[in-house]
Amino acid sequence: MTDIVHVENLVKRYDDLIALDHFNLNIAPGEIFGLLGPNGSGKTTSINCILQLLAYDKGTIELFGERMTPARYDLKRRIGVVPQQVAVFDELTVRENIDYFCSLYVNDRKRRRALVDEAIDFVGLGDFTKFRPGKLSGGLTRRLNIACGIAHKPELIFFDEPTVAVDPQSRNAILEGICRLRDEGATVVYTSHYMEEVEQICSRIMIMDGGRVLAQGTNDELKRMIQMGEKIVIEVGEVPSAALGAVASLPHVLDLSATAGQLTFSCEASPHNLTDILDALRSHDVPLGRIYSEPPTLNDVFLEITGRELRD
Amino acid sequence: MFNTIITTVKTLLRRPSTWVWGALFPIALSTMFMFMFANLSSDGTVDPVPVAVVADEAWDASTFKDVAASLAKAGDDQLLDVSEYEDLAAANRALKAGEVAGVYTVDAAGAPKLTLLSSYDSSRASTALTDRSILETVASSYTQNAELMRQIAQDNPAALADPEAVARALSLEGGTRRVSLTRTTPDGTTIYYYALFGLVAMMSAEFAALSVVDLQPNLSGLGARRCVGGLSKTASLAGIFVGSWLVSFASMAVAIGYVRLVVGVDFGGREGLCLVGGAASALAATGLGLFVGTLPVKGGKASKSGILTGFATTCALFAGLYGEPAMALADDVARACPAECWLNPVKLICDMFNRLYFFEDLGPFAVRAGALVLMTLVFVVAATLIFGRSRYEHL
Repeated sequence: MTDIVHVENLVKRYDDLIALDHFNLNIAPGEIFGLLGPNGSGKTTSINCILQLLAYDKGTIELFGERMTPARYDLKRRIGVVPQQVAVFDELTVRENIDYFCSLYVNDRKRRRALVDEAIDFVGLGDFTKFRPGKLSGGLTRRLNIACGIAHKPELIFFDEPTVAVDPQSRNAILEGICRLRDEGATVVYTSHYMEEVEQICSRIMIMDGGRVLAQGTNDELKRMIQMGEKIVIEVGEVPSAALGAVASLPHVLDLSATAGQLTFSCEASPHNLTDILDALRSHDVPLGRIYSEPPTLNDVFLEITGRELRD
Repeated sequence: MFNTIITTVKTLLRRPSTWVWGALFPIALSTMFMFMFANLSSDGTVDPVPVAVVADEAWDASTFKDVAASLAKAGDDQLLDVSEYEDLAAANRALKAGEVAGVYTVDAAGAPKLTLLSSYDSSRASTALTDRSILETVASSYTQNAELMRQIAQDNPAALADPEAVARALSLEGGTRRVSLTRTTPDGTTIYYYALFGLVAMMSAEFAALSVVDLQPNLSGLGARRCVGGLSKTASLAGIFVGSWLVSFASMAVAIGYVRLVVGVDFGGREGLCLVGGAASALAATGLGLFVGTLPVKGGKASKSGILTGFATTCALFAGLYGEPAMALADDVARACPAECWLNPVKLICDMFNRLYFFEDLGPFAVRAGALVLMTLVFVVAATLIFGRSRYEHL
C-alpha cells in the first residue's frame, strides 16, 4: 500500500543552522505516528515543510502518493492541522470558528453545517457553541483548536503538541479522540513531549534530534534498541559508601542514582540483575524496604538516545 | 472565499477599534467642525452696513438721499444702516470710533462722496473690506446712473418717457450678464468636510491591514494555520479585500450620512454620487491597507497601524484639513507640485468631492474616482506580490 507520507532526504537550513539534515519519513495509512525530539530537534520544522508552510533546500515530499507543492490545494484539502499554538479568531464564536476553518476545505454550506455539528460533538463543545475563545478555559480552547483542524474529516491529520497546558481529564479526552479518528480511517502524525502519551497511542515512533532521525520503530522495537533492559528501584535505609561502590560495580549495572531512602538502577537485560543487587546490599547489612523492577519506558529510550543535557 | 468575506466583516465589526475609527472618529470630527464653522458658514446674506450721513441741506436736496433710504429699508435685502449726523465732525467721530464703516456726504452739485478710514482692524479684515466694497459700490453706481440719465436726457430725451426703458437701463441686468462659475453657492467650509472624508477613508485602511496580518504565516499563528488550508492565498487575500472594503465603505457612508443629515452640509443634490465617491475612496483605502499589511516590517499589527496613522494624518495635512494655515500650505504645495494632488489620496478624495459639489460636468469627478481605482489596483498588485513571497520562517 502507498505510504500516506513519504519524505526523502529533506534538507532545511536557516543560514548556518541545519534544521533538517537529510530527513526521511514514511507513514502508512491508518497509523498514529509519533514524532519525538527535544526542543529544536526539527519536529515542527519537518511538519511545516511537509505542509509547504516552509520552503526547503533539498529533498522530496509526497503525500497520498503525489508530489506536494505549495499550490497543491487538492492535497491540502485532504489534510488537517492542529497547531501547537491555539490559532483561532478571538472575535468569532466556537461555532463560527469551526465553520470558518471547515470552509477552507468544504464549500457546500449544507454539508459544512453537518460537519461542524459533528466536530462540536466530537470535542464535546456542545454547551459552548456561542462562546468566544476568550471565555473558554485552557482545555476547552485546546478542544476548539482540535475541532477547527478536524471538522472537514481529513485523511491525514497533524497534531503538534495538542495537549500542552491541559488538565488530565482534557488530555485523556483528546487522546481518546485521536484514537477514534484513527479508527474512523484517518492517519495521524503526533508530536509531543509527553512520552507516556506517545507510548499510549502511537503505533510507530520516530525519535529525532539535530534535524536527523536517530531511531524509529514500534514502542517495543525502540525499547530493544537501547542498552538498558530493566530499571530496578529499591527503598533502603542508610547505605554505606562501600555498599554503593559494590552495587555500582556489578557487571550489568549501567547507572545508579541514590536519593534519600531510594536506589535506582539502570541495568542491561539480564535474568540475575535483581538477585545480584540484593546480595550485594545484604552483604553490607543495608536495611531493605519495597523493591520493584520495571522494563524501560519510552522516556528512558528518549533520554538514552538524545542524551540528558538541557536544551533550549 | 465567500466565507472569508463574511468572517472578515464579522471580525472587524467585533473589534472596538473598528467602531472607534470607523464611526466615532468621523462623527466626533465632523461635530467638532460643525461647532468650529458655526460662525463662519454663510447663507449668502449680508448684514446691513452701518454708514453715517451728514444731513445738511445738500443731502436733503439730493436724490442720493432717496437711494440711501431705499437701501436702508428694513427687510431681507436691507443693505445699509443709515445714521444721520448734523455735521461732518460728528460723523467723522463716529467713523473713528468704529460705529460706522464710512461717511456719505453730498456736495453742492448733488454728487455723493464717501469718507473711509485710512486703516482698519486687521482682525476684522474680511468684514471691513466687504463693508467698504458695498459702500463704494452704492456710491459709484449712483454716480454712474446719474451720469447715464444725464446723457440720455441730452441725447434722446424721448426715451425718458418710457419708464420700463429707464428701469432697464438703471438695472444691473441691463448691462451685465449673470454667469455662474459653480453649480452651487460656494461655501468655504465644505472643503474641510471633504478633506475629513479623505482622512476617514485613509484611517479605515487599518481594517484591511489588520485583517491581512491574520493571514500571514510569518506574522501570526492564525495566519500560518490559514495558509495550510485548502483555500488559495489569492482567494483568501481577495476575501479579505472585499470584506475590509465593505466595512470601510460603511464607515464612509456613516461619515457622509452624518455630515449631510446632522451637520447639514449641502451636497448639491448629489448624495448618491457622494456615496459612489465614498465607495471609490474606500477602495483606495482598502488597497493601501492591504499593501501596508503585507509589508515585511517588524512589530506586527502595532507597527502597521502606526504606519497607516502616520501616513493618513500627514496626507491630511497636505490636504489642508487642519485649518486655514494648513489649507494655505496645501494650496502652495499643490501649486508647486501638481502631481501631489494625484498622489496624496486624502487630497485626491477631497478634490473628487469638491468637483462633484461645484462642477456641473461630472467628468472631473469621474477622473478622480478613476484615479482612486487605479491607485487601488497598484496597491493590490503590490500586496499580492509581496504576500505571495511571504514565508513562515521560524524554527
